Amino acid sequence: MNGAVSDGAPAFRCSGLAKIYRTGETEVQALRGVDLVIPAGEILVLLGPSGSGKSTLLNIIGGLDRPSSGTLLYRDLDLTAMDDRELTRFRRADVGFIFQFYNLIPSLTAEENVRLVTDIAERPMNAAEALEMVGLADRSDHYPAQLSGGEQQRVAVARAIAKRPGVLLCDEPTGALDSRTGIRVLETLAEANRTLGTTVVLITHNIGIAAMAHRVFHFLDGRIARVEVNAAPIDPSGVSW
Amino acid sequence: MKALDLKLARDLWRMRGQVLAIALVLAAASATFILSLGVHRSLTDTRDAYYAESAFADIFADMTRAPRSITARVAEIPGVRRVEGSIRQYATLDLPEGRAPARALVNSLSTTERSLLNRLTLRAGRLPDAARPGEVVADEAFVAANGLALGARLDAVIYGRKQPLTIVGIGLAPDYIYSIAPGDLIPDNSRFGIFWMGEKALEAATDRTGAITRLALTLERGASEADVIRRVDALLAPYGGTGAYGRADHISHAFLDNELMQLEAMTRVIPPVFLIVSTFLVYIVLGRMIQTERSLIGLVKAFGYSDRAIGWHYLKFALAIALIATILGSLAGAWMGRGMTSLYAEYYRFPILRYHISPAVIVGAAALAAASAGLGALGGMRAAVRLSPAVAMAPPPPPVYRAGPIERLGKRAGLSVIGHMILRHIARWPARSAMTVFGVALSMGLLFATMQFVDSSRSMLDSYFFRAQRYDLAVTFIEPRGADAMHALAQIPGVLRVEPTRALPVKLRSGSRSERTAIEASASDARLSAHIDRDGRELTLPPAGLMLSRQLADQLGVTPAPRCQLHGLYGSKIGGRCSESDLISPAGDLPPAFFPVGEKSRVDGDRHGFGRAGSEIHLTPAEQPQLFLPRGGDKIKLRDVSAGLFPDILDIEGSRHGLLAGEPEPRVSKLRVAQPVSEREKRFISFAAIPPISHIRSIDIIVDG
Repeated sequence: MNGAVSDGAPAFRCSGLAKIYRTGETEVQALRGVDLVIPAGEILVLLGPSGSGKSTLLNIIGGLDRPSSGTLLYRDLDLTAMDDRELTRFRRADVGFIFQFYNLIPSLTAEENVRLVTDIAERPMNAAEALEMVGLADRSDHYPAQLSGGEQQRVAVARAIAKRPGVLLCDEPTGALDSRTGIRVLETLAEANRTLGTTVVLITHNIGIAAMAHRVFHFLDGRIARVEVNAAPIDPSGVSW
Repeated sequence: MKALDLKLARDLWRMRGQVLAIALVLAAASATFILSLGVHRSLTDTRDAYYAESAFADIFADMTRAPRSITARVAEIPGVRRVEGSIRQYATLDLPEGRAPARALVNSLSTTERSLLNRLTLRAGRLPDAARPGEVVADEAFVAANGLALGARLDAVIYGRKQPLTIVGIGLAPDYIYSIAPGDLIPDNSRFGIFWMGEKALEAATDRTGAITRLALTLERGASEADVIRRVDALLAPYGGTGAYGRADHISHAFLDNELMQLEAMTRVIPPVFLIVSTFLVYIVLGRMIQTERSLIGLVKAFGYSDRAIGWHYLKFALAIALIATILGSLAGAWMGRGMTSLYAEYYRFPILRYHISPAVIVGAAALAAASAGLGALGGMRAAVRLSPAVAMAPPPPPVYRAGPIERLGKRAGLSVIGHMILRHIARWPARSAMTVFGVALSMGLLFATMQFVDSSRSMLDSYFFRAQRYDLAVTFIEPRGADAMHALAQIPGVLRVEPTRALPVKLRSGSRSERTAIEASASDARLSAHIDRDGRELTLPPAGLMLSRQLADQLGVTPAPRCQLHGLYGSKIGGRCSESDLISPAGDLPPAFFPVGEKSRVDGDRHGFGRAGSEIHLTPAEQPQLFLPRGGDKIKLRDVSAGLFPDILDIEGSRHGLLAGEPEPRVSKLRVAQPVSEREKRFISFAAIPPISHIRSIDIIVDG
């Protein structure tokens, strides 16, 4: 269970996936039975209003959270049957995360932030190599406070791809960026998908980004309302913001 | 270095203020631990090695005078391994350059054979030559304090005779590691010295040819000290033996032992307080740190870091604090230990006293610091490990607040919104609030505990020097004197009042418990010295019987009784009421038991001819008359006057040693004259009014009621 796959076989298969959150005294049903197949090596976009269940699904398929019910397979591994230790191993080997607010550690330089992942990964690329891939080789010894928002997000991308993950899970990676830097980030994601064969699952509120995806899942009220298959995904540079 | 460790190092640097503050508290624990344990070990090891090397005796016995042949009889007592007899004699020294005279305790030293026990260690010079009677070895501290050197000459009055002495050697002995002049509160090396003189020379100087005044003996392994003491006492009784005693009652050993116990107590009491405070501080700081790094914890968990790795990361933060504390504490502990050891070297005379910290002490301190910080980190670590990555990355849900009784009270009190917030916050986290209160209380307690030392010392000095001691001069005689002595002292110009007191060394026994102490007897109308109780009230002595300090009463397990008997060793009984009081434990060597004088006390069953059975006698002893002088009265040349009047004055000393006023020299200079009565003169001193209860060495307290 490691490395990128691009053999066309499904990366994730889930059926009847449901999740109920209890926050204080309130109960929220975030997912209400999601059936979904994510083919390996594709770029997928999850669209939908806030609270429709996109992030919950991303957390569950990334092994950060467990479903309340339903089944979830990553290739032939049953994620719902894994204990905490196995889920940790799964995340360490196969999953790269990118968040809206970059989540870099402020006391570490760009290179050290990448090393945070390469220190524990099984077959990582060199941190400098990962920064080279996102075009930040010359900013490797800069602290997050010395980088622009776009640069910080590209460091986050470098950190996510440095372990050569099978799947990149991106929660609104361009949500806090302007169009130019946003497109630059999308290009690095597309390049990782192309060169490493990494499956990219991307949550966004920006409908324009859907044009670069192989598939688009529309979420509503914890369910997938509609699936679009895009026969000819466009290059990120052509995405309209 | 791993990226997560880099983060740790930078976090430590970023939070250096808090880290250093906690490390300093923890370092205080380590320093005290290293200081007290290190000094304790150094002192114990040095003492044990020195005792073994110089054959420190197990039992000591003093007597007025016994033939030297008594040693052979003592050696026959089962359990006795070695016996050695010697002469000890107080002498007065005339110091050069017009300084006030000093006192010396002169010990005899065999010049023909090597000492078996309490061997003298020569630091410089040589032993006295048998052919030159004036040669002495002086103790190192006295020589140093008076700026003397080998070859120095002093005039001494030994046993009433003036004799020139030459210091030919400087030495130390295990029975004088700590030495203090009788009646002194603190050792004064410049005014009291230990001398060793050739045996024959001292015999001649004290009219004790072929006689001894002290025995020292060692025991076979497993021998009973109490049995041997009983037999030695019986053997020495006819020779004015004052009671044999073991090491525990030997003044030098007892002081040293007491110091070691204090160090031990310091190890047990002070470090735990600092350790608890630092555990609490680590708990608070790490708890807050983990709260602020919630999303970061989620992030690294998302990257695949295990719970154990996260927990270890935060534990390392606490251990780093412990490491800093151990380094700082070790340095401070070693520095203070060295200082304390050199302070000890001033009071305790060892051939060599070096501060040595064993690695085990440092490891122990490090382990304590690590355990304390680790314990503080446990709560935070558990919280960090428990966080699920998805939950960690979401903002924490708002805490649940409920209106409780405190809240209702606040409402009734008409608190502002901020007031409500404060109350709710306290009520929402009761454990945390309680911990904070506990922590603050503990620090206040620490503050009070340390500040009270100053206050209680001041209060003790105040009650001892200003309230209890009202006299200006105390004159101590070698032998008890009668009313004539008081009358003679009262005649000295400037003397306003003279009062007698007497102190008798005794062994008090109650059931199986016994304590060596002294009974102080004073007149019922005494005004020059007072007995102050714990509440600062002045106590009057009961009309008859014995008053004990609460401490002594507790040690003996005695409770006040309507009647009690003081049962003397030779069958004499002193009846009366036995009472106890909350008397302040007197400072120095003041006796904690008091006996009224001038009252009719019964002495029964006397078989020694100092009173008829059932007779009533009137006690007017005057072993230590206390004098009250008018302002400026201390300037009178009491020494010249009194030396002419009393050849047997042991000591004249002023009260209020200038300790409180911070005077460099005592307001009343200590004048010491030791001109003991010779055997011939003794016969002319009236003993008529003084019962020889000084011969009672052991008193049983039998509680009747």
